[in-house]
Amino acid sequence: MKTIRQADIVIGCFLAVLGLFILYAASNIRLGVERALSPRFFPSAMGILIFVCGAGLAVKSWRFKGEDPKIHWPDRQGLIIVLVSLGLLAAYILFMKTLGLPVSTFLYVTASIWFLKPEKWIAAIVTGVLVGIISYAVFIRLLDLSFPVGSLLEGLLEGLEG
Amino acid sequence: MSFSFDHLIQGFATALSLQNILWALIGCFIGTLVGVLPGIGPASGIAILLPLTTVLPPTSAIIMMAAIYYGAMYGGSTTAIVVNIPGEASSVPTAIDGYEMAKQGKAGPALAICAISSFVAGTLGLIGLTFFAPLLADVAVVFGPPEYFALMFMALTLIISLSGRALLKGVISMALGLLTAMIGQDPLTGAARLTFGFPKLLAGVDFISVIVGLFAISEVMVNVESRITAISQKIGSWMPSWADIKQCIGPMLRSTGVGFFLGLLPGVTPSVTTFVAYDLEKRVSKTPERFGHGAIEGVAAPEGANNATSTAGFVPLFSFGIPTAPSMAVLLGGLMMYGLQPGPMLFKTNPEFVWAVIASMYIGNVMLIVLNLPLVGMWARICVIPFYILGPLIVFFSVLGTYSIRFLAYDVWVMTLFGVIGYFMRKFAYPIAPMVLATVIAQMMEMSLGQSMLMSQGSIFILFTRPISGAFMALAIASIIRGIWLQIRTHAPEVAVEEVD
Amino acid sequence: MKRTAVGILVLFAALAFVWAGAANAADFPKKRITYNICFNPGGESDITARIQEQALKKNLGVDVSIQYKIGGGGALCWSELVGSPPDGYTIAGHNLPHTILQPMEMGDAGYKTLDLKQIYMFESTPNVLMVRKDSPFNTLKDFVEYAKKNPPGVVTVGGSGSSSANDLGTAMLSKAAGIKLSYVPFGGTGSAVPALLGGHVTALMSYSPMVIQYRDKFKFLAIASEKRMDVIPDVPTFKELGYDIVEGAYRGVAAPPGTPDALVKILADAFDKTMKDPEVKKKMDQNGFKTEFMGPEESLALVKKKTAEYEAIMKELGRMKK
Repeated sequence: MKTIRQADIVIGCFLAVLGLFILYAASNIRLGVERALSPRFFPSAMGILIFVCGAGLAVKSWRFKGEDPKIHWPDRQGLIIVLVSLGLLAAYILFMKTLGLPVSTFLYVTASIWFLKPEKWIAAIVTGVLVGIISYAVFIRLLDLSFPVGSLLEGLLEGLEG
Repeated sequence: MSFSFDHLIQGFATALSLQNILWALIGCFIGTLVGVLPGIGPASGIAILLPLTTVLPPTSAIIMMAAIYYGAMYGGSTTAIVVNIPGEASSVPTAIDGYEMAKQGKAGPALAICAISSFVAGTLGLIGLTFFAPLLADVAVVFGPPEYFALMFMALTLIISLSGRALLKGVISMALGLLTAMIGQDPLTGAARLTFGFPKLLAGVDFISVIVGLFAISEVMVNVESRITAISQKIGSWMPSWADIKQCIGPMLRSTGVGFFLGLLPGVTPSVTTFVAYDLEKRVSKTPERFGHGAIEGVAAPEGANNATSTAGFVPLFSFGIPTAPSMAVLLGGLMMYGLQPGPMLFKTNPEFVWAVIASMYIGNVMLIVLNLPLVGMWARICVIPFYILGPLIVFFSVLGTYSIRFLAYDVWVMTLFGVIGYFMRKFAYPIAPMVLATVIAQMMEMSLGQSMLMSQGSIFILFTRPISGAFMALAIASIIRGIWLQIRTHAPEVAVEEVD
Repeated sequence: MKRTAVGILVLFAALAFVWAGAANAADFPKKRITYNICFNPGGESDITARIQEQALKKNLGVDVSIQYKIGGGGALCWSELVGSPPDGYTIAGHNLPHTILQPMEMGDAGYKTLDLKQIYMFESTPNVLMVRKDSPFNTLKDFVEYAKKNPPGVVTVGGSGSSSANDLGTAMLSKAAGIKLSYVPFGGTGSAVPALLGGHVTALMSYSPMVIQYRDKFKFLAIASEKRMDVIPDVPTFKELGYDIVEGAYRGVAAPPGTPDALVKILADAFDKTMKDPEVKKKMDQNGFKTEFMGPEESLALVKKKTAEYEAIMKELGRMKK
């Protein structure tokens, strides 16, 4: 899909199918107590709307013969950066529970900065440490929010306090 | 509630001690810090800091709470402008033009206008509250379920103007937003919907995760792939020019009016009124194409509406004892801690206290501008931080804020998902704002329609036979027809979406 | 030999279990507890929580953070509760009959009644039928006659929640009086009251605290308790007026399933002390709540008893999920 017109046709068709699927899913909603407005009404309405608009979009773009801008896809390097960044984010979320907020934050921030600019690895580590500490001091201790502390850190702290 | 100058002066006398001013300052500052986090709005902010206030005498505590409230509201707008993370749903319209201004190096003026507009709206709103509350309270109950539905429906037709020339895509964006909001439990009966057998999905999709994902995460993705150096290369002056301010007088006044009157209605939150105010400005402007590309009115209007709506929320509170939003309820809880009974009797039994609260709100408002205008320079500098550092920090804040909604990793995954969705929406030129507005109002809209149908034994005509809802519906339908007509007439390609987002 | 080894292992395991539970209990609670409210701000659940807040913090020794999880008439909040970690740090206010009726009526409410681990039941509020001061109805009889004269469903009665005490109370009145009332659910009493104030519904089936709060704005036609309440002696009971309707909401707190009994006991004791605190008691009475003092076992017994009762009533009314 290099141009917007192409994308519109493809996505339009996809949306039309999605609309039908939503209609199907809506019809399966279990009715509970009988009320004037069925829980199926709105989802079905959305399904129909999406079908109509998707089909309309596909048809309209198919017939369009005017100026057709290109989509700004990233170059190969950019694509890698985006994918890796997403991967780091996913890892951050995955490990937050076990490693705890401060440690996983430190890892994420350090890794991300280092990845984005490998030569500035000192800045990466320093920022990572700072943010990690702040996340602990401010959000866990001062504001007392229920973020996971992580077994590593807990053990460390217990050792320090004990 | 009867007005008397004596009471108000008395209230000011109680509120204005050196100590109290100090507490107000601290409250404002902490509130701003807390409000900066997406997912933690004024309600959670006050709730979290409530323990701190218990060590103070009652009046000081109330003053501090009011200051925290104002600070939190302002904090949400700060991040919206500087790094495109709306602190809560009401900051979304601010982000649209505010962030564009930041990219052009004008973060300073944007932030300053925020503060000024909030201050003007807040002061005017308080005056309205002080003098006209008894009259206004009766207005508030005129709105029943049909009127609420009609109002929400009309708000949705605003997407037509927000979509620029890409009407079909705007409708699709809105429909997908509504659909997302329907995942989980039906607001009227609790029936499970669109969960496909996954119990986790019963909790539904929290709109903060959606907003943060669509705005902040997708923006980071777009920025890293093009390897930009920083959000903005230079910082202009950090104050708006006189011309800018003059341009904003109209928006400030109009948005205050709109925000205040809509805010009187229980259940109408700033998240809706900021969109309405933004759209109003776009419609009355002589140069509407500037909106979405850094029009300063696009920042002044939502901010004014935000503050005006929050202030108006006190009218139902003081007149009927009904808190119209969670933040009000928290304040009410605070009042109750000091032995006050909620309900319409509040004014009769404890007028001095209530007036002290009102006086302290004026103070909080002033505190906001006194504290934040000097700090504008500091906040604006954030835009120049190299993106290889700022990017990960933005993500950190996003994750932190989203996680703090319900302390569920699930919400953060939703945020990530919508980050990806937002990324593709930008690539394929779909407007994002309609999806956001739809997510925010979906529940209330559906519930109001359901209640209206019950009131009318299943007839939808109740929406049209009642004067107020009929008027709104007529406006909405006219808006739709006009939008379709314009689309057909100009043969606008769905392709051209330069002016969107 | 093998059996002894197994026996010793089992004994150790049991001891470890008990010890873990006890060890947990020893330093519970050590951080903030989240108290979820399942209805709009301003409603009874919210008001009660605000009354309890201070004393609760004192008795637990940690902060209590009140959060709102509104939707589905409470079902959203309770289904989230059963999915929350059973570590004692997340509790939610819960209501009877809602938590009994919803799974019954909805088929899949996201939770089962007995999934909610009962901690304490601290109050009850009987249903009260109310109309605006300027409405033509002065007695229940007037109201019923009006409903009979009009087409079924024209008379609308608002209330808090679906499959709630208000909902059921309206249905019971409809049946007992031979009329058809349309019940309009609202997110909570906090949003139902403006609807009556604005005249969008004919009447409200709401709770006793509203009598005190809106004394000068509404007329109260009947209360669904055994006897008249001391604090509002001029409201006649449904029973007196010839309708055998005793119904209302019980409110308490519950924890996710699997929460250790030791932790539940600590929470229950804290709530018990809180409800017996003279300040709290005074505010509850002033506001029209009837205080209860039921610990975990008593609460569970009440739930079971009510479940049986409601099954019978629901079958009678034809609302059981088949």
